[in-house]
Amino acid sequence: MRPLRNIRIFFSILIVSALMVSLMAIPSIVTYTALQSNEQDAIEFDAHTVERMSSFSTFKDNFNRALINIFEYTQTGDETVAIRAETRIAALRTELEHFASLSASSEAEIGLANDLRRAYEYQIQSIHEFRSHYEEGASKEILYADLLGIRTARIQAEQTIHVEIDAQIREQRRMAVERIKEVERLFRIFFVVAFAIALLLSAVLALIIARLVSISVKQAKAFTERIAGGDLETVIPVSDKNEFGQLMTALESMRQSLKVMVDAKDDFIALISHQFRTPLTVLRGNVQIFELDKSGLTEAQKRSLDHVKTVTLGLVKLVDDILSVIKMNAKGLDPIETAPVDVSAVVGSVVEIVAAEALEKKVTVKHTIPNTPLPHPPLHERSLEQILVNLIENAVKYTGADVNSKPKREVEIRYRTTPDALEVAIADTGIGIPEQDQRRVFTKFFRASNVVIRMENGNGLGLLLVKHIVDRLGGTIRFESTENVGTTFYLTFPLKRSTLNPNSDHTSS
Amino acid sequence: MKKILSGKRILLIEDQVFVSTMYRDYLAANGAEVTVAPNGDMGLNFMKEHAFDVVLLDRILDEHLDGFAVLEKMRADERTKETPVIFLTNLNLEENEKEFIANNKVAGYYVKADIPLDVLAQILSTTK
Repeated sequence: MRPLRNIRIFFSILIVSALMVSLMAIPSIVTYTALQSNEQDAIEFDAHTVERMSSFSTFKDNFNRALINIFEYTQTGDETVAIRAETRIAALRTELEHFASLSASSEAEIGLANDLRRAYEYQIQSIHEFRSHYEEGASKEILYADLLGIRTARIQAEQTIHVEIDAQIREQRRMAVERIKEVERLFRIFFVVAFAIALLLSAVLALIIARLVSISVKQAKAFTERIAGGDLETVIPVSDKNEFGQLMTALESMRQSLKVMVDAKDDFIALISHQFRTPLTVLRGNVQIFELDKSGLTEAQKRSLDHVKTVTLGLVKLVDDILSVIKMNAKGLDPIETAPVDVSAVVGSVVEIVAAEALEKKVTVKHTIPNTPLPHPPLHERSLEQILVNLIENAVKYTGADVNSKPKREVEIRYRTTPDALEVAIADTGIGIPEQDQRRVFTKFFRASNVVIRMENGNGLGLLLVKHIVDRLGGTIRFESTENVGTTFYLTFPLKRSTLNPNSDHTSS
Repeated sequence: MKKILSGKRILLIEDQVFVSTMYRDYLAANGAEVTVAPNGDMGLNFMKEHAFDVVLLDRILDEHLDGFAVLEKMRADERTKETPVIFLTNLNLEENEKEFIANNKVAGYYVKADIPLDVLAQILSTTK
C-alpha cells in the first residue's frame, strides 16, 4: 500500500462532491434567473401600465375640463373661456404625443398604444366638431348628437384601455406561469441527469475503491503464499498506516518470527550435523575396514554389515546435503568459476553412475544426443555433475518406484538448442509430483506426499541443492509433472554468462 | 597379492582414539606401517627418532600445539623439512590459510567426512 492511493480516494470523493454541488447549483441558478426575469418583467409592466394609466387620466382630466369650458363658452359666449378650452385641447394633443412616445416593448403594448391613440384622436376630433358646429350656429339637435358622440368616444376609450390592460395582465401571468413551468421542467431534467451521473460516479468510485482493496488483499495474499512456499527472505514492505498497513505489519512480524524460528532450526541442524560428521566418518571407515576382508563373517553378519553400510552412507549424504544447503543459504557466497563444458559428456558419465540402480529397478535410461554438435555453455563441471546426479538419480528412483504397475519405465535425457541457451530435459515416466505439492518442490526437506506414502529413500534436500546450484550457474530450472504419468525437469543454461549477479536470479517454475 | 601401501611408513597425528584406530587399521590392512601419535609433541618426537614417508596431520590437536604449528616445526627441522604432509581434518580451509598451506609444501588437505578410506589409501599410495 502506498499513501498515494488514499490521496486518490480523497480526490475522487472531492471531485464527485464538486460535481454534485455544481449539478445542484445549475437548476438553482436557472430558477433564480427565471424568477428574477419574471420580477423584472412585472416591474417593467407595472411601470408602463402606471404611466399609461396616468397618461390616460391626465388626458381624461383635460378632456373633461375642455368639455366643461366648451359648455361654459356655449352658455356665456365668453371668449376667455373659449381660449381656455383651446388650451385644454392643445394639452390633449401634447398628452397624445406623450402617450405615443411611451415605450412599447411588446406587440400587445403597441396595439394598446395604437388603440388608445385612435381613441384620443377621435375624442379630440369630436370636440372640434362640436365646437365648429356651435360656432356655425348649428341646431340644438346637431349639438346634442355631437355631445352624445363625445360621450361615446370617451366611454370607448376607457373601455379600450381597460380591456387592453386586462389582456396584458393575463399575458404577463401566462408568461410567468410558463417560465415557472419551464423551470420545473428543467429541474426535473436536472434531477434525473444529476441522479444518473451521481449513480455512475458512485459506481466508478466504488469500483476504484474495491480495486484498491482487492489489490491490497492480493498483495497480502501473494506474501502469505510466498511464506507458505518457504520464502522467508523477502521483506514485506509496509508503507501505509491504514488497516492494510497494519495487516502488512502483522504479516511482516509473522515473517520475522518465522524466520527466527527457521534460522534457529537451521543453526541447530548445522550444529547437530557437524557433531554427526566425526562419528559418521568413523562408522563409514570401520564399515570399509570390514569390507576389506569379509571371509571370517557369516552370511547373517554380511547382511547386517550391508545394512549398516547402506544406512551409514545415507546418513553421510544427508548430513553433507544439510550442510551444503545451509552453506548455500549463508550470505556472501563466492561466485562459481565457469568454463565451457561439454554437457552431453557429463550427462554420459552420470548415466554410467546410475546404470546399476537403473538395471536393478528395470528402468531404461535413454540418452539422446542430436547429430549436430551441442554448444558448450559456460558452466562448472563438478557443479553440473552434482545437478545431473540428483536429477537423473531421482528420475530413476521414482520411475522404478512401482515395480509392477508401469508398462513403460523409461528415463530420457534430451537436448534443445536456442540461439542463446542450451536446454537439457530429463523426462521420466515415474510417479509424478502431485499438483498440491508442486510449488514446494524447490524448498527444504520437500518430500512429495505420494513419495512419503511409498516410503522411498530421500532426504528432501536434493532438489533444493539443485536449484541453488542452477541459480549460481546463472541457469534456470523448471518442471512439468502429472501424477502417475511422469515428470520432466528442464535445465536451461545461457550460452553467454549473464552479467547479472547469479544469486539474484530466482527464475524457475 | 601386493598391497597398495606395502612398505609405506606413515605417521598419523590424531587425538581422537577411535578415529586414529580406524585409519590405522585400514591403512595397516593395506600394507602400511602406521605409527599413531595422540598429540603434536609426541608426533614431533617420533619424527626425531624415525623417518616417515608421509605424515597424516589433524588440525585440532591440543591447546598448545595445533596441526599448523606442528607443520611449522617440521619445516624448521632439517630432517623433516621435505617429508610429505597430508592434512586430515574436520575444518574447511579458510582463504588466509590457503597461502600458509601453499608456502609449507602440503601434499593434500582433506575433510575427513569427504574422503572415504579407499580414496585416501589411493592418494597415499602415490604420495612421495
